[in-house]
Amino acid sequence: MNHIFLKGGVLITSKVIELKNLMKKYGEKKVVNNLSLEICKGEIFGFLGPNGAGKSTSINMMVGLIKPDDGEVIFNGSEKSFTRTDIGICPQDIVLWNQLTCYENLYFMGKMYEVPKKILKERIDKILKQLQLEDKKDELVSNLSGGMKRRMNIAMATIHNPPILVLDEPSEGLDPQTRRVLWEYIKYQKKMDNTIILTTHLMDEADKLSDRVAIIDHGKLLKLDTPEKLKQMIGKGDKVTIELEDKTDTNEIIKLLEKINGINKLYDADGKINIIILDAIKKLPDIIHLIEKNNSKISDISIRQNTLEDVFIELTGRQLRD
Amino acid sequence: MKIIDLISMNFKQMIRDKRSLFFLLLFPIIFMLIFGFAYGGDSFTDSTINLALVNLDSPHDSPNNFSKDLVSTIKDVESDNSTKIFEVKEINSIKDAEKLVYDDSVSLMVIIPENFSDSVYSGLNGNDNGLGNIIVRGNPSLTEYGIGQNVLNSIISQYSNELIKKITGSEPMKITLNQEDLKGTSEFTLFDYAAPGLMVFAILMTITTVTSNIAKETENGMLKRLKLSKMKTRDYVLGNLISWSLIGAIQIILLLIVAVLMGFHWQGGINSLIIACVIGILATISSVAVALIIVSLAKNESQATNIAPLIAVPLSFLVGSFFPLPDATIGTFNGHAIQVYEILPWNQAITAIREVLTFGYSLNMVLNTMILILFMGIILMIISIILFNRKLSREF
Repeated sequence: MNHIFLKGGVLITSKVIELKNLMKKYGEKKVVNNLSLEICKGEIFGFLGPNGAGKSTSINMMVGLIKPDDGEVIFNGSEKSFTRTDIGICPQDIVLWNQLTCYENLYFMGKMYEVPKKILKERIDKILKQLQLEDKKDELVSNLSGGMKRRMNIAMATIHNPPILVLDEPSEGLDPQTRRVLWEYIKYQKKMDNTIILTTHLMDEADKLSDRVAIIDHGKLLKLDTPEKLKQMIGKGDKVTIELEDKTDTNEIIKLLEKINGINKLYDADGKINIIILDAIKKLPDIIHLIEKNNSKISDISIRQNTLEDVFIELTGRQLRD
Repeated sequence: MKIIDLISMNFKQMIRDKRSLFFLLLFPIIFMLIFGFAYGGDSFTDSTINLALVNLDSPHDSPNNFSKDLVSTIKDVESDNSTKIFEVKEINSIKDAEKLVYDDSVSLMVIIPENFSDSVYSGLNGNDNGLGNIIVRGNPSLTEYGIGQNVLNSIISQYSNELIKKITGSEPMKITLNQEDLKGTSEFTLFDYAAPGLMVFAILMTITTVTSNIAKETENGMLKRLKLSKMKTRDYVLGNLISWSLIGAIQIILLLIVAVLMGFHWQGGINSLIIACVIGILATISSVAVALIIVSLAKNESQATNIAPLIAVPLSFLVGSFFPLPDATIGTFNGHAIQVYEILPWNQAITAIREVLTFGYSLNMVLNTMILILFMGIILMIISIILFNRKLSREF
């Protein structure tokens, strides 16, 4: 049994889902390629990768909606103990009955999961309140805004209080305010000791919510760790990105910059100079001076803390949105 | 009960979806109104109806040969434009006459029984046993049959009145027209034939709505969401089946109300309406099955919704929803000529609904047809469930 330290120093010891050499092909294309990982009880497990990386296919295989071509999914330590009703799925697309009200949608779904009537009614009120939809209780779903529908989409997945919650791009297209409401709800689910599997291509979402993040591309697991450790992997410090007016100078400037102390990493990505450096603000005048001394001109410069996107770029050589 | 929740969900959605309501209720009602206006006043007496006549009467002691008079009356009866209503073929045996009916060579047959003249004579002399029974048989799915038996009813009524007056000078006594429990109508119109067809047309139109709903639920991930719950495929299929069957019954009731308002001569009372609703429910099983088959075979929602009307509309012509069907015999069973369209449950439903609502047949008389419709529905449903399950296991 694995022992994994999560955020806040909580020790998690039990695996709820284990993927062993999972493989899925569509035609000749390997959508999921030899994927092996473990998901522990009570953690928020982030799947990070670009569109078409194989995140949704992996999840569909995990919950039994798609049969893998090879490999196995072990649930609670045994393949046989797997039950779909232990899982709540919030799909990427909005799946709601438009001609029913919010309450009717949730009530109908709850009945399909055989939630007792009394508990169901109380739970609907609670969920609608938590997702700030209580005043839309009797509104037809067709009349809701996109953000409200997204929140309803997640409400539908949690109506039976599943111990495992799968959220496939839950905040796609949401404004920051609505995203906050959704994140709070996801955190509440974790507080209830539920396991959350989150697929996203939003860096800050994966970073802020996930206890561990699996970076996946072309169906392959590239890296799996906590967001902090993943970011540390590409070096401690801030990230400075410099774009030169004349990109042919890039390599020459990189060679010059190597002389500056405190640089953890220095590389070219998409024609831009990326520097991971401690105390970036203090070092910035030296960097600019060095470039100007070489008669090169800077067209753009930015400084920020490194993110999971930087990890992805480090691992794949391209941006997550490519 | 998940099935009840599924039914409730389907009903709520249907009531709130104006497009579905239009196709399920308003569209057939518009057809009913059009047909009511077009054919409500037509008495159909301008056409000639082929009739097989079996005269078994052998008058011995009677002073008059009443059957001979009646036969010549039937032969001579003319419509308003002076054309003969019946083309009478005199046949020696009931069996031969039945053969002509089965072959659709004639639209109906009339049997004058052996002791007809004796009975009339006896009746005229004060015997209270009536003035004899005349039997009419035919295929109720044919327009000519209903028109013919209605005209015969009128002829015999007039004939008996005139005959009795002439012989006795007393108040007229009646020769009853025994229509094998057919009640018929005294003011029969083409609309009385068309209306049951339009009711089944409405049931056929459910194919398009059910296809659209299930295809949408499949493609938009609703079915996937349901499949992840404790709902089984059988719950889903049964929930849909019951919902749409109830809608089929509602369609029959609404369309009958509209038809009656447009001049439909409804026979049989509330009992006949209940039987017609059950027939509607049975026919809807087949419609739901066809919808499931379309969804199962179509690649996506758009293909399914496009295919559905291409099947439902031609089917409504093929089963005789709008017009009487020509002879298309494919064989015989138990002496009965089987028409190709009779293998379709909706054609059987039209015949059965016509029998109960237009002629006032009792449950016993249509029970076999109802069992046949159910049987056909079950076969279609088994095929559809196999295909639908295959689609679900392929996609999810």
